[in-house]
Amino acid sequence: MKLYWQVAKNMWDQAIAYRLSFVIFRLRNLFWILTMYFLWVYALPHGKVLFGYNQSQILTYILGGAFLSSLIMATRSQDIATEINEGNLSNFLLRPIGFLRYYFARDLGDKAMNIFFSIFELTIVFLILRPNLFLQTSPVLLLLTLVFSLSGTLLFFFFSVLLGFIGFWSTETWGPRFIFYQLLNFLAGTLFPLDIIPKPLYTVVSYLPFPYLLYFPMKVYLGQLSTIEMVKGMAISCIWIVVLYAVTQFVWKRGLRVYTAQGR
Amino acid sequence: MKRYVKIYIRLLHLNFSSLLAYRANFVNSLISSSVWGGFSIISILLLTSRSSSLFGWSRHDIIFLTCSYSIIIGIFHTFFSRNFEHFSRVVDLGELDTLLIKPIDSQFFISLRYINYASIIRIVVGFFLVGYLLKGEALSFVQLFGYGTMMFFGLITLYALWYIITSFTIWLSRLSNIVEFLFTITNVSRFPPQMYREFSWYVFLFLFPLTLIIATPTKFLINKIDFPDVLILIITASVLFIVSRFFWKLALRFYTSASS
Repeated sequence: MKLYWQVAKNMWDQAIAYRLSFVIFRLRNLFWILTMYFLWVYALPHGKVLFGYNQSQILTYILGGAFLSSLIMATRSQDIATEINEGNLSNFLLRPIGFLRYYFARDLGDKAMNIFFSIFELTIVFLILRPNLFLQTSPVLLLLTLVFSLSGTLLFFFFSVLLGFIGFWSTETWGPRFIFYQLLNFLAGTLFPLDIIPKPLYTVVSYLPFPYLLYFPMKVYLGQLSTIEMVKGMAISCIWIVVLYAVTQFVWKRGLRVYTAQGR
Repeated sequence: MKRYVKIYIRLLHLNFSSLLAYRANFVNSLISSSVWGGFSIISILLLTSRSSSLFGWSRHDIIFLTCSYSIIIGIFHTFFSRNFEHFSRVVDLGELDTLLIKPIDSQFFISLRYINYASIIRIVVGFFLVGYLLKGEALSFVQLFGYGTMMFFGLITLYALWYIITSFTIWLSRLSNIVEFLFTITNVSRFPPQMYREFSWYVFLFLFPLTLIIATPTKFLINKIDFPDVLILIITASVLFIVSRFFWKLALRFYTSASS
């Protein structure tokens, strides 16, 4: 445990070492949040309701989603493919370190850094723009939001690792990752709440793992889901976690069989 | 000038050869470009599905704006953006040394040597959708000429902005993710300029050139163009291009080289 705590801490130190790059990365995020904020402020003026959302709810969804994405989607596992392609994976194989645990610890360090800055940025946005936000007061719903966020974090981690494992078979890993992020923008509800899409399409999408990354935690926070919907959501989310974990283990074992430590 | 045209034609050939050599990368880019283009259009269709107008632009106009974005950004990604992606590496690893000693304009070579043919799909998708949205409605010669010309100046503006900002890597060579930042801020241009008036004046001033790049050519298509719009884009493009030249020359004076 101590070992993985150190890995997470190293990640934090690494981010601090490349301060300017990190600031640029956060600035980019802030910029995107502001763009989406103004888009919705205009698209949905105060007092109007669109797609079943009023302005306060939609702004909470956008800003809250931005905060949650720094917890759920902050990752360093994109480095996995490079580690495999450059043969650096051998370093892990020789040491008594669990590969998945190592990368999860790295991700936690990265997430901690991103959450810290996200709070800082969103506070500035809040102080300057004074948006009319929805504050959830129910402790149960707040707790459930946290639980759904943690399951979303696991789902994202397995997806990201699996994308990295493509490195075992190909050097061309950026394409699938790029498409995955495009899919996430659309199907995880990063750009807009998913229930604005046509109902039949929404029903299909709700059985996929993507909505449980961001859309579901935010809907729980907004208190817009019934108990049955939440139970169903948690069940689907858990099934996907188990499936993705099993697939990750399977692909890891298969990948190691074809790993040639190229470049070593 | 003739020499540069010849060199560029040679670069087009060389890049085509490397495309054939790295076929998997090409297929990757082709699929990614199509997905990206498809999603950006679907997103805007959804967002505008229940409102007839936004920021003073009708739904029809906003969809045209998104198609123009796909075309112009497609052209930019085909001919320019890959060069900017290599920029910080060229400076950080000292590759710029070999580039500077060549008997060729360094700005020309560093910003035009890579061509990403896969992005052509975005241009095709954009033009196809514009054609579909026009539904047989004929465009006048003035509209077409204006659209093409403003697109050219829009691209010059975008190129110059990217060039000025990436030139900072001469001082800060570790700034490898500056291009990702540029990708994000370029997204600004896909929405109507009116949306950004709410930002504070200095942020708006910074974003102002970006808000013109797509909106001005699109105004030609939807018959909403004013003479001042045209003039502002031409002046902005020209000034920024000249600044990019001067700034690059200034930056080179501070280039300390690496590894040599």
